[in-house]
Amino acid sequence: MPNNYWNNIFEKNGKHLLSLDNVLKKVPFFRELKKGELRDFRRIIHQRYYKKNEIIFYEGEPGVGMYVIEQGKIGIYKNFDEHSKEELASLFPGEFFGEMALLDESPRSATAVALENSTILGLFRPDLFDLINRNPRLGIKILLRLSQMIAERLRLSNNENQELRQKLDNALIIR
Amino acid sequence: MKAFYQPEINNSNSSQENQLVILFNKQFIKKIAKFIFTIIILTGLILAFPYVKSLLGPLAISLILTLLLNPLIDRIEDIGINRSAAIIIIFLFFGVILFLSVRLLIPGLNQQIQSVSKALEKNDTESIIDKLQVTLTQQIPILKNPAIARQVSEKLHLFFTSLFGRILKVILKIISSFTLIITVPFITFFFLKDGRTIKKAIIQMVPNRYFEMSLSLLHKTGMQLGRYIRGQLLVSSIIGTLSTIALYSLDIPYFFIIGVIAGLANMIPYFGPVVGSIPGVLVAIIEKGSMEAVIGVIIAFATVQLLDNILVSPLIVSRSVHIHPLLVIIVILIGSNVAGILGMLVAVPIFAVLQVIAKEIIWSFQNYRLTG
Repeated sequence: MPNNYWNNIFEKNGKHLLSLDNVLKKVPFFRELKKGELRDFRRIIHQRYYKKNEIIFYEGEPGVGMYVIEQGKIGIYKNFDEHSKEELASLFPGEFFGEMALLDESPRSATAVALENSTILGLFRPDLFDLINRNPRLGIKILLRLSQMIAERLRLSNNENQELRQKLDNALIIR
Repeated sequence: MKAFYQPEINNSNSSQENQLVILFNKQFIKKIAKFIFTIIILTGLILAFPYVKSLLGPLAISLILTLLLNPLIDRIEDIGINRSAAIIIIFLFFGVILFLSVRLLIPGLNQQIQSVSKALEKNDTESIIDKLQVTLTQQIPILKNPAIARQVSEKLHLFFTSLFGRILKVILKIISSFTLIITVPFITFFFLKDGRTIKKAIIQMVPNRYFEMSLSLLHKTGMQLGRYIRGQLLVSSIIGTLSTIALYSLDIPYFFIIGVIAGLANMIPYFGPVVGSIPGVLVAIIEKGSMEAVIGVIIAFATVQLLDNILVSPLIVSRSVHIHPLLVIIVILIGSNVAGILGMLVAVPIFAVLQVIAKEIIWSFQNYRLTG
């Protein structure tokens, strides 16, 4: 049995919960949460340990939630298999991935792999919806932050799209 | 959990040396360890089963109650009341309702049950047995023989001893139902209070590769089962109440018991409504003896079914289970073989629950890459 399996079960002491709070506070996504809200929120967070080269999720699988990196390094790949892969990004502590899956169950757009032994925090759609039911104020706060973040990424990708279009137009004019 | 850079098997050539490499391959040893671990766990579970068997009933009832009450508790928590306080409020509320219904309904119900048994006695069971005995001795003179008479008396003695055994069993059952009365609210309270923590702890134990799938599976089945059970109970109580009112207004005796039976039988798709109306029709024939009363009861049940199909069920959509009528019969027969009348009643809901779980598991296996 790999060590991370037992880590996933037993690593839950007070010291760790404290470090969990510190990690959450560093992430822009959770920074605005008050102390009590953070405590409520911590209850729905799943802390998982992945060893180097372990797959977190595959492209095409139904998305169930997002992850925040507490420790380690995560690689995001397109068309990933044992022989070839197309790297999209490498992510470090404090960064997050898979956030679109918090909104719907559409398939994952890329594969996520732990590039080092990593600790990641999972926030999942069923738990978020449950939180919205129980504590709508906190739920809406998180949803708002999520939409702002997705809007920001959309804006960035629109800009990139526009730049690429411009470059393509210029190239065509030069020809 | 497989390392994707690491080649699984050295496939350069197929010499004996390579076979040794495979034998001592880390992956291979891990697989053996996993296999042994699984065998140990399974053996442990099988060995422990007789000791935990009696716990399964209270656990199942508590789980159903948790699924039923959870949305209510969430709603109360939503208005800013602490979860434990919300559970206590709900417990007190239902406790009072249960107490009042026991106080108000049980005497009436008792009276009705007594009059049903009296009605059965009207045909005097003892006189029937006496008549049977006389006829038997007349027809079979050998029964007058003292040796045979002794044998018969021995058999009777055996019968009464087994009857005593049965009574003892019933007493034991009553005692165990007392433990049920204590354990069920206790377990339900903690399921409601710490359900999320328990769920999280279970999920925590799942290996990484199956983690997302298990999380989604647990959530989806829980949600669907909750909706299904809540829907079933709601529809059954509405049908039971409507039937009771209809029978009462028709002045049919034992209206309450027949109404309850009709409500419970309604849980069985296709056949439930027919089965539920039989006692009503029979009572109308025996007690009233008029064709008008029988037709009245049939119309009353038909109207209740019409209301169910037009108004109640469409509003409570989640109640519907799509099980083929042939499968319903098979499931009911299996249920009756396993646990008699109770088995017949709960067979279809249990099958529906298993169907929901199986569907979700199959969907998950089709959509997640579990072998990677």
